[in-house]
Amino acid sequence: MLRRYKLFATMAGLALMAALGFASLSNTAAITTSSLQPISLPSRDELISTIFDPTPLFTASGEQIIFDADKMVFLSVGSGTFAFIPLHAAYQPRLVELYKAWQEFENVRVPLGGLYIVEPIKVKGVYNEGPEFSLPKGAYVLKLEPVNPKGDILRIAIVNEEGQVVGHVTGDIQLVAQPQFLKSRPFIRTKQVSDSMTLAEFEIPWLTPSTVNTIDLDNIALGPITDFLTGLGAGIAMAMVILLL
Amino acid sequence: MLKTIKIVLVASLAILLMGTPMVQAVSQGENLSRSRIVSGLRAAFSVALTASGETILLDEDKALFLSELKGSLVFVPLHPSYWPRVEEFLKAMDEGQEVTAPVGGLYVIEPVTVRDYQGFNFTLARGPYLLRWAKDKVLIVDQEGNVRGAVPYELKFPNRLREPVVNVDQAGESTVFRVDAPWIWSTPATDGGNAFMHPDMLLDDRHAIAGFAVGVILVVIFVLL
Repeated sequence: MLRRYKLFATMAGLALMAALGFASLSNTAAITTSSLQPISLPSRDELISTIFDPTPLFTASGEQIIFDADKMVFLSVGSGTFAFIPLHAAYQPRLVELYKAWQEFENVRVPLGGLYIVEPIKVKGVYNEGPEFSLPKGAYVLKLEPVNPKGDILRIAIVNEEGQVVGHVTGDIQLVAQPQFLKSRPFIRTKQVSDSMTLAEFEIPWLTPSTVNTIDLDNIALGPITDFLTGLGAGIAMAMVILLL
Repeated sequence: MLKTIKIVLVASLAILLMGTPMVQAVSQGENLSRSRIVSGLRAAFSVALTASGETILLDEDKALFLSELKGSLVFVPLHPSYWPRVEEFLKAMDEGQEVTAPVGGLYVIEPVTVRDYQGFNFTLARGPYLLRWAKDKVLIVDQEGNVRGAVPYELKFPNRLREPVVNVDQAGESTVFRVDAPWIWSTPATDGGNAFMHPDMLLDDRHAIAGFAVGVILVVIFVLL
């Protein structure tokens, strides 16, 4: 009986060693194969699925924000690798509600879009004089901060998955007089502003002409409003500036 | 005892079955990392440059990878150690030789349709390409050395660009990618501010550049349809 157990134990040991050996062999084979085969660059589909699938993206912001993954802009330069994800048109009605409250100086933050940081980056705060802060890898929601009735600089909060504001960047509201000039998706510009600083500027179509018509443009909190805009069905775009160190 | 043996066997089988998927899941998240992108470009361009039969040094660390609705493109600038060679090409052009000067590398991730410098359309399949300055245009050359098309450009000087910058905009139904590439820096360092430069100036009036500029930036313009 004891001999039988020993036999079983030996067999089990051998099986375990074989299993571990096979596992290690298959991993080595995988490494060897990957080092021989060229590393493929991520396709757009892979970018979108990687950024959206494994991440509890933006749900921690406390409300259901709808993002438009197809219109995502992904950029990788020496200063950093990140993606901007605009809001989906289906989110416009809620955006209009929040924007109206924001215009009336209520204490609300209005979503602008999502930011996904692939590698940790250092960012300079609002208006260049602002404090530096770092953004670890992960998903963030960009939100327009409330302003006071006396006027204030426009601040865009970067909110992490726990709902905490980790820093602010700057931006501008742009009123687009001709509806056809409102862009169909976000566009990006990068600029070198010093030997150690790169500026990334996003232009984001934000409120389409049809929704803007429902907003009292004369009461917009920031920026000079000319009367003719109201009658033209203008759109609103946001410009957001991120200074990368 | 038998139970213990069974547990050990089941555990070993579990390790064997679960180990590989776990490794894959972890590595999938790293696909977007900068180091992965740079490695991918190095591998792709080492093959392309070998096929071209010419030693061109690219600076993959400074690559600019941009993906938006119309497509995903990567621009790879020349390595600074290659700039003296570019100047030799320019000198040869100045002497009337039929040569073109390398500008950098282009990697197309998804096939794109591009408008050329004369307004005609051409398509670029996925893969690496070399960009070469031909005085009135920038040629896009594939791995086999075939010119797939040509795009417009601008020259700017001086500006000490440490890496390429990009400006993407919408022009009607098209998307315009403008990539500013650091190109030649070897001229004396006096800051004359940013300015546009006529292409002939680069070849015919080298003293003007030498007195003015710290470098030449070549802006490659892709109109994606």
